[in-house]
Amino acid sequence: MLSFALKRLAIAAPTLFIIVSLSFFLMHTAPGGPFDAEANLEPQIIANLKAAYDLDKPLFQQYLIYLGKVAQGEFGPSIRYQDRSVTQLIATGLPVSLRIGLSAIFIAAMIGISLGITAALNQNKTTDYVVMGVAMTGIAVPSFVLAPLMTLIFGVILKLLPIATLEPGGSLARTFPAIAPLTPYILPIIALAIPQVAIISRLTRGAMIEVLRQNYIRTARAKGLAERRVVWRHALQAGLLPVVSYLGPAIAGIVTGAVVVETIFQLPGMGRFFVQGAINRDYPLVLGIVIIFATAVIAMNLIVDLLYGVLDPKVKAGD
Amino acid sequence: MALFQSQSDAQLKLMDAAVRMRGRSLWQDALERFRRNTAAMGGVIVLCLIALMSMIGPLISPYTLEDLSWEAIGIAPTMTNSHWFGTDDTGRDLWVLTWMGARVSLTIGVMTTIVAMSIGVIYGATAGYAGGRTGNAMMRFVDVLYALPLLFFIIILVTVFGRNIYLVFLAIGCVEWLTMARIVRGQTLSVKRKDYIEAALASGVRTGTIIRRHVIPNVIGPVIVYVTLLVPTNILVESYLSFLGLGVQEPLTSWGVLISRGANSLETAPWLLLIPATFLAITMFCFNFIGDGLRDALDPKDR
Amino acid sequence: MNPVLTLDHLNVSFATNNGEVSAVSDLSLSITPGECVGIVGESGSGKSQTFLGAMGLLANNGTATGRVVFQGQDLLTLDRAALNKIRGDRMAMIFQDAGTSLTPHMRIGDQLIEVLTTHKGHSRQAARQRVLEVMESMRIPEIEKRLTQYPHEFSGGMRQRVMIAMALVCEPDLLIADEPTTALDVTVQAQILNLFRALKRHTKSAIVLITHDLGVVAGLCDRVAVMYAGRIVEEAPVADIFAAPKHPYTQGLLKCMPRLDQLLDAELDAIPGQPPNLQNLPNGCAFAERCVNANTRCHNERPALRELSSARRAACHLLEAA
Repeated sequence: MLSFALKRLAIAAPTLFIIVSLSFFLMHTAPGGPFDAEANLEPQIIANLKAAYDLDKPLFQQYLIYLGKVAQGEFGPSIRYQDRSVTQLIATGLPVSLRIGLSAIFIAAMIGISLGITAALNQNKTTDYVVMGVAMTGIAVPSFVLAPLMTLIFGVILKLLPIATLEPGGSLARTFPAIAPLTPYILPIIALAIPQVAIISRLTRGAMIEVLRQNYIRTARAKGLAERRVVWRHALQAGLLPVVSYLGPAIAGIVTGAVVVETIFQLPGMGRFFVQGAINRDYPLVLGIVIIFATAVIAMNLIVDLLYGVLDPKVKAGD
Repeated sequence: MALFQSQSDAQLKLMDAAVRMRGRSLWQDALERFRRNTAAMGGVIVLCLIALMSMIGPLISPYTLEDLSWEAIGIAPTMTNSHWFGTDDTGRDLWVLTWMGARVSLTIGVMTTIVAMSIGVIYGATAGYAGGRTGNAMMRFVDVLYALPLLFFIIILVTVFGRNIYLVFLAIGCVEWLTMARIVRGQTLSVKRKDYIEAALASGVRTGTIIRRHVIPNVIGPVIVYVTLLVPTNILVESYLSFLGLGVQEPLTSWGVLISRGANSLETAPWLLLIPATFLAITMFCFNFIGDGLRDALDPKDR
Repeated sequence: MNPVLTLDHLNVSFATNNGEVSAVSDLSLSITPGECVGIVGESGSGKSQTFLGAMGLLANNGTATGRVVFQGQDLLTLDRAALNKIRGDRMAMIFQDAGTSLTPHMRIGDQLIEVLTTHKGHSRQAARQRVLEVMESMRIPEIEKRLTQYPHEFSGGMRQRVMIAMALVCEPDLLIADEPTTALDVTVQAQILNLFRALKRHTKSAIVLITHDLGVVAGLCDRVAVMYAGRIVEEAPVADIFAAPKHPYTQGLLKCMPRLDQLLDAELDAIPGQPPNLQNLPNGCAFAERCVNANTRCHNERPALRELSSARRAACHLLEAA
């Protein structure tokens, strides 16, 4: 098990390195620079600015300097937010994004798996059709439609929840002061989780139906085990394998979703910094965020691989 | 030797005939199963209607994309002055906007999918056919790209090279080929290991013929299914980009652009969000139904 | 003696996209305690589906009708819970492909122990003790270590032994073995068959042995039922079947068996043609198409399974004429 983990780690490290390099060169081969917008600046000032950001050096040297800094957890100064470093910006944005991202994935997994199992056990019955219909809607209605609608209904009309702020508010917070600090996060988390709920429930259903057709399920039934035990002990673990391997892509999906959701709800998270950085051509900021997100996705994939090893004894024994 | 030759020729002819017969009836069976799937057939019909309306819809209306009616700003859907879907906050007709948006969204969905499919199929088939170290290295690279949130990559590309509609095609296509490559490689590998390929190889059938007769027919099913699921994905990706202001630029419009603008005036003019969003959702539904229908039709054991 | 299992006009059918497929039709058969009955037929003859239907293990689209009386209870009328009290405990089944019939992510020990904790209310410790005993009798080496392993760490033969042990831990009154040796190497097949022989001597279980291999039947069974296209075509004590097969299909099957006393270059007599399509079975005898002696009556009228003597039954018009 340990050697398996180490092997996976050995693959993850170069992956991250390649992503950092790829993003760096891509950003820097761009025609036009971050100071293009300020066309009225004198050439001397632009030169000075470029020197300050090392933009006057040869590309490869810039790359090496950058790598050295990143290795120390330093992503350089932001070009747009000139008084703050990218590291500082990330430090303010990351907790917000982590909070909504992790909650969303957790909630999506719980609800998605339960719905998927329910549908699989009632295959081709009404329950199945209802669950799958809802799931299909979750896929068909993107979060940037859902989020404004939820804001309108729960924020503006019902005034249950606060909107576009991290301050607690709304009638829900007043009625239940205990959960008041959570209230600003509820709508973003739901908006982020719904597409994933839809995907995970479909995945779980398909996998469970497949597993329930296996010979060993017939054996378990032939043994006279209660249906509950057949499902939970004999089927579930194998049925969860595709869901577990989806968790890697799910994190990527949550991260991209966070960009939109943070923009809509105007939350000061990483996603919003990223979009603004991209629009302003704030290379260091965009690169820094890409690195953080890529690390998150790779780390998640690593966890998924390990989890897979736990669930499937063949992986543990084998490579 | 001559005897050998003629014998293997005869065998080949038999095998060929068998493959063609089997191939035809397989596809016919699949078509038959697909036809019987109400949801999928409904999807096809509705989708054709939307495509048709995207072509003729703007022509039916008395208004054009450029018409700004100052006297009819932000009016709700109405029958009276032919603003069937109402107007937006600059007085443009939403009916025209919606169908023009449909044009762009559908075109982008299809074009990006063609780009993604071309890259994915060539890359995946090469990796699968090459196999061994080369194939593994190629797939390792795909794994690396997988670790990057795709939308980010597109955003970087768009940021770097400017916001241009053709670039959006390319950027989405260049990113969404990964899964296609995996599918094609997997299929190619599994077909390569099949006994009948070994038999064909052993009896001296040329590589080109093997690929044409055996590999492509086996790979094409999953590719078709994935393509029908990729088109809506890409429409959605474009909508995301447009929503963030990084996709299609004015005066061109797409469903994403319309939804993005509609979201801003949701309280005063909800139809600006709801109408384009509804058509987007319907399109998503249709493609998903068709995709599911195709999968069930091509892989009947999955039911 | 009261039969342990009576199948009474059992029908098994499957609803498919292309209409109803009838796998077993109007099948009646009794099994007395302690005896070993062989069910012989080609694949698709319905021999497995008969007993899967009896145990309530059909695929989702399958239905069984008729009566399946096990120790006085009609299994087809029982609900899931009541059925679960019987299967695995008093009536157990061994499946063909042990490789896919054991849960891959559960330790072998757990899969065996749960049978006892479910049916006998044993504690895990007591159940483990009993499992060790049974595995010992299955001649599985290093039992203690084996219990903590997963199915993929076992060889095919060892997995089949585990399957058998699993069926035996509760000492069932009826053991149904569905092609228990088919997926195995010849040497391993012999070992498993020896286990069955020992089993027959040492337990009071009735055994149903489903197989396509008449050789297996010859060495083990007391009585044989031959199935063709979902029906029993002949039923007889094992010695009689080999000595004087009555039904043309049985005769054909026997001719297919290679024999040591034949010349090496003598060709085996394969039965010509294919088994009929179960979706539209002929009106007459299902075997008529392949039967050299078939006459118009065979093609038009289905022969009933008639008693030839006290222990023998066969379904063939030709026997009547003779």
